[in-house]
Amino acid sequence: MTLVFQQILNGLVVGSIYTLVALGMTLIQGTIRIPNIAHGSLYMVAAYIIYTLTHTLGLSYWVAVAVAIAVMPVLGIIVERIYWPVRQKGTGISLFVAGIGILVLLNNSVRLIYGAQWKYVRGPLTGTVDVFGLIVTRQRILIIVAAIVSIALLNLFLNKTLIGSTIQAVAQNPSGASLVGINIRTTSMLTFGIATALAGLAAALIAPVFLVYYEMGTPVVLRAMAILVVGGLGSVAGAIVGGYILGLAEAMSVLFMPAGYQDLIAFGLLIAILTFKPTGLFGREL
Amino acid sequence: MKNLALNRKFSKTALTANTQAILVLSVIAAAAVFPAMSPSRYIMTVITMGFIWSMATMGLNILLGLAGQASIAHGAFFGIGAYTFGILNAKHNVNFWLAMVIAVLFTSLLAGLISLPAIRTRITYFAIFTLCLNLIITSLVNNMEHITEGPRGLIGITRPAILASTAGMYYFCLILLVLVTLFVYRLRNSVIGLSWASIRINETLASSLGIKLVYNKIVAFMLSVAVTALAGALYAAAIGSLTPSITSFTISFYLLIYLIVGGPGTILGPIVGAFGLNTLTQLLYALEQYRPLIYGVIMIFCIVYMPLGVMGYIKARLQERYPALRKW
Amino acid sequence: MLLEISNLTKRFGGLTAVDNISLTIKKGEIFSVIGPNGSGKSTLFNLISGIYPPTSGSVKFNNDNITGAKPHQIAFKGIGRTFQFTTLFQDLRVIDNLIIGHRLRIKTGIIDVVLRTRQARDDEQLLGQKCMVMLDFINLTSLAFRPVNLLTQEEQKRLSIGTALMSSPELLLLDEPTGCVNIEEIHNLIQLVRKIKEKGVTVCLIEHKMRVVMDLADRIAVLNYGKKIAEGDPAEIRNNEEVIRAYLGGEYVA
Repeated sequence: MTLVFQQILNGLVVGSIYTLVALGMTLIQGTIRIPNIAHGSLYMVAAYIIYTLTHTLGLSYWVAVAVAIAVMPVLGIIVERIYWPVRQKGTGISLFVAGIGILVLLNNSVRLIYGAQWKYVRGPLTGTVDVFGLIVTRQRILIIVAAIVSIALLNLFLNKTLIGSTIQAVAQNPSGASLVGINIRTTSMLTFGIATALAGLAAALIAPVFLVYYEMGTPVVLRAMAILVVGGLGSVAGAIVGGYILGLAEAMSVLFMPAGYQDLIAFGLLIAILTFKPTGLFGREL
Repeated sequence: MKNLALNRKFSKTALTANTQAILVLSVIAAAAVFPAMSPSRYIMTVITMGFIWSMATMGLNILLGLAGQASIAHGAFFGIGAYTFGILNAKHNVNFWLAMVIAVLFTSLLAGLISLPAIRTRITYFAIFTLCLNLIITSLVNNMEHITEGPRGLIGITRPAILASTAGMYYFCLILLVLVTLFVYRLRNSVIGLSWASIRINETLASSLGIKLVYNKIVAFMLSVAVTALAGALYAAAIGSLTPSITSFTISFYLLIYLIVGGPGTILGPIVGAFGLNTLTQLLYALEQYRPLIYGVIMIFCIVYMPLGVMGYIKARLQERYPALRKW
Repeated sequence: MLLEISNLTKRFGGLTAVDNISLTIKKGEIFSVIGPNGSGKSTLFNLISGIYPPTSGSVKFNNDNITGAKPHQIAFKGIGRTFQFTTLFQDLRVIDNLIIGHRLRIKTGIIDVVLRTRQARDDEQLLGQKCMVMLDFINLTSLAFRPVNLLTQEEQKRLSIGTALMSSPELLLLDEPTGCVNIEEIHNLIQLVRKIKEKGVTVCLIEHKMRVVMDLADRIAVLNYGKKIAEGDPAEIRNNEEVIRAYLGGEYVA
C-alpha cells in the first residue's frame, strides 16, 4: 500500500512539472494561437542555465534560479520574434514547422556547447522527510509546493489584475481587444515571457531530481501537447487538470507496466480522445 | 484544358509541351548516362540515396503539398516500409520483388487504418497526432525485438543479381523515381489534384461543392505513404541493414525540411530539396555533427523568408513569362 | 415543394439562433429571406446546407429527408450555395475554381488520371466545354486564366455564383450576393439571378437591399430574432406592420 502512496506522490511531482510547462504552452496557444512546440527546448535551456550558474560559476541554487527565471523571458521573446512574421503570413502548418526548426536549433546548439553527457545539478534541500510513513525527499516537496503556489498566483494574476485581463481579452477576441486599444504585439511578448518563466521554474525545480541533458525537453513538450489536446488548446483549467492526471497516470502505471512504455500513456490518451472528440475535451475550435 | 480556344493564345509563349518534354528527357538522359562516365562507387551511392530521399519527400509532398494535411510522421512510414521489406527479405527469404510490393501495400493500408481516428481533426491537432504516432512507432520498432531485432539492427538484406551492383541499384532507383514523378505530375494537374488543392485551400467551400473531405484525405494519406514506403524499401535494399532510428522523428524532420526548402506543392520541389540538402551534406561529411543544427537554422530561415521553397520562389518569379511552369 | 423546412430550431448553448422556423420553397421561384442583422438568416442557410445539424426540426428536399446530412452529400443531392463573405479558392485561377465546382459530377478516379484512360480524357473535354459555357453565362470569359485574387469584388461574386452553379444544383442558396458591391454593379448581379431562374434553377436569396429583394423575389420570408414573422409576396411584405417595426420604421435605401 505504501507503494501506491509513494507513486501518488511521484505522480504529483511529475504532474507539477507537466502542468507548469503545459500552462505556459496553453497561454501562448490561447492568446496568440501559436502551438509552441519549442517550449520544451526553452525548458531545457533554463535547466542548462541553472547548471552553468551553479556548477561553473559556483552560485547558490536560489540565486541561479532567480537569475534563470529572470533571464528566460528574454529568450522567450526572441523566439516570439521568430514566430511573429510566420504567424502573419504563414499557413496552418508553418508555425508548427517553425517551432520544429527552433526546437532543433536550440537542442543541437546546447548539445554542441555542453556535449551529450548528462549533467547533475545539486539541489538546495537535501535529506528526506517522513510524511505519513512515506520517505520523501525535501526537493520533491518543494516541487509540489512551489508548483501549487505558482499556479495559484498565476490564476490570481490572470483574473484579478489588469494585465491578466488583457491577456484573457486577447485570448477570447483578438480583434475586439485591439479595437479597445490593447496592443496585441506587446501582449504576445508578455505572454511568451510569462510562459517561459513558468518553464524556467519547472526546469529549476526538477533539475536536482532528474539529470539534465539536451533532449530533456522533448518528452516533456510532447506530454504538454498531449495535455493541451486533451484539456483543450488554450484552456488553463484543462492544462492544470490534465497535467496532474497525466502525471498520476504515468506514476501509477509503473505498478503494472514495464518501464519503457510510459510514453505510450500520454500518446494513447491523446489518440483516444481525438478519435472521439476531435476538438479535445474542454476544447474550443482552433 | 486543351480544348479551350483561349488556351492557344497563351501557349504561344515559351515552354510549349514539346520544349518541356525535351528538357525533361535531357535531364533523365543525363542521369542515365552518368554512371557510364565511371564516377566512384561512393558518388553513385550518394546520388542513388538522393533518388531515394527525393522519392520519400515526394510522398510527403502528396499529402502536405497537394492535399495540405500536415503530417510529420512520414519518417515512421519510411521506416515501416524499410522494415517490412527488410524482414520479409532477410528473415523470411521472400522474393525481392514480391517483398517490395507487400511492403508498400502493407504500410499504406496500415497508414489508412491509423489515420481513420484523426482524419476529422484540424491542422495543428492532426500534426500533433502524427508526431505522437511517430514516437509510438519508433518505440514499438525498438521494443518488438522478436520481429525487428530491435536496437541490434536488422541485417542481411539482399538484392537479386540484376541489382547487385551499385550501377544496377542506381538505375533501378532512377527508373522508379521517374515513374513516381510522372505519377505525381499527372495527379497534381488533374481534376483530382485540383480537388485536393481545394481541400487544402478552403475545406468548407470544397465540402459545399460536393467534395468528400474524409474520403479524399484518407486516399491522399495512403497514396503518400505508399510512395514514401517504397522509398523506404529501396533504402533497405540499397543499404542492406536497418536500425530503428530509420523510423524516428529525425527522419520525419529531414523529409519535412527537404520539402519545405525544395518547395511544397511543386513537382520538382522534393527533388531539389532532397538533392540539395541531403546530397550536399553527405558530401561535406565533416559537417555531419552540425547537420541537425544547420538544418534547424535553414528551416527557420525558409519558413520565415521563403515559405514557398526554392521551386515555389522560381515559379512565382517566372510564371508570368512562362505560364507552363504552373504545372510543375 | 422543392424544399420543405419544418419546425427548424438551432441552439448554440444559451442562444437560440433559429427558432421553430417552417417554410417551403416552390420549384422555379425566387424566394428571399430577409431580416435585420442577427436574425438567423445565415444560420438557416448553414442548417440547410449541412454545415451543422439542427437542434430539432427537419429539412426535406424533393421529399428526401436531408436533415443533418453532411455538406458534400447535400451538394450531391442538388443544393448549391454561396457564402456571405466571398469564398473562393484563392491562389487558383478563375477556371480552376469552376472546374472544382463540377468535380462531384465527374466519375474520373485516380487510376483514370494516372493512366490517362478514355474516361479521363472524355471528362477533361467535358469539363472544358462546361467551363466555356459557364464563363459565358457569368460573363468572365476574358478572365478565365486570371488568378482569383486579381478580380474585383463584383467579379468574384459572379465567380462564386458560377462555381456553385457548376455543381448542377436544382436549388441555389445565395447568401447576400450584392454585399460589398457598389450600386452600378448591382444591376449586373440582378440580371444574373434572373438568368439563373430562366435556366430552371430555383433560387433562395438572403438579401439586405430592399430594392433588390422587391425587384427579384416571387415570395419573401422575414426573420427577426430567429423567428419567422411574416411570409408572402412582395406587396404583402411591404405593407406588413410587423416587418416595418422590425426594421425600426425604415426601409433600407438600396
